[in-house]
Amino acid sequence: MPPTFVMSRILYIELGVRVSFHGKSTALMLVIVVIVYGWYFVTVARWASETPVADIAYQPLMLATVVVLVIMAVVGHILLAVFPPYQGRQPDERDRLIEARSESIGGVALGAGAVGGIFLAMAEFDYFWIANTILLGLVLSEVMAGVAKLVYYRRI
Amino acid sequence: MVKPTRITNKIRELRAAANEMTQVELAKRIGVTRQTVIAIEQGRYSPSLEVAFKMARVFDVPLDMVFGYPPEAEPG
Repeated sequence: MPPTFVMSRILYIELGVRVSFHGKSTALMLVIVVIVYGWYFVTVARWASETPVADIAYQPLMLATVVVLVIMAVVGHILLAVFPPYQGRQPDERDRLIEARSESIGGVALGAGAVGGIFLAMAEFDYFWIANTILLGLVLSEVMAGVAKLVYYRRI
Repeated sequence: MVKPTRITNKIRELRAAANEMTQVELAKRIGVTRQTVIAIEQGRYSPSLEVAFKMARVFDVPLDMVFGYPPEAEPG
């Protein structure tokens, strides 16, 4: 085997796509969550500025965002699997380590949202604020965990 | 913050000596992803003992020929 070919073979692998399917999936979900829930929170904030919150029917929109999120995630993952072809594999120990560390970071926002929801309920705020505070905690948790995963995938 | 590992390795040399084994081939044989092999080889990730032993077995060498751990600097 000529030395140049040997070197190019090693370099090809070294310089090949360093981001795994899980890394790409994380980036995809981060973009989808930011777009869908960014739009949702902007919309409900606009409604809240124009209408008394007790009169706002936020529930159909909140449920619709979940459906839209699932559809976008499924379509996005199908495209990710097709371009380029997915090699098919289980997450390994490094993926699990990154997952665990990132989820613990996201858990901070999740906890803050839950505590915020409890305080709003005790203070007898409208259901609108309680539901959206908890949802905001969930969304921020996903965003923080997603960003942390992307950082860890580059550093670990 | 990710703490850099002090573990050194000779995986690249061992791959070269093993008939230019690619990172993909090595990854398949030890049951991890190519990205994980890259991370281990570059010293960014310390593998579990099980993966380390599997790697040594693939190259048919003792564990301390694959990985090293430099001694602590003497205080003072």
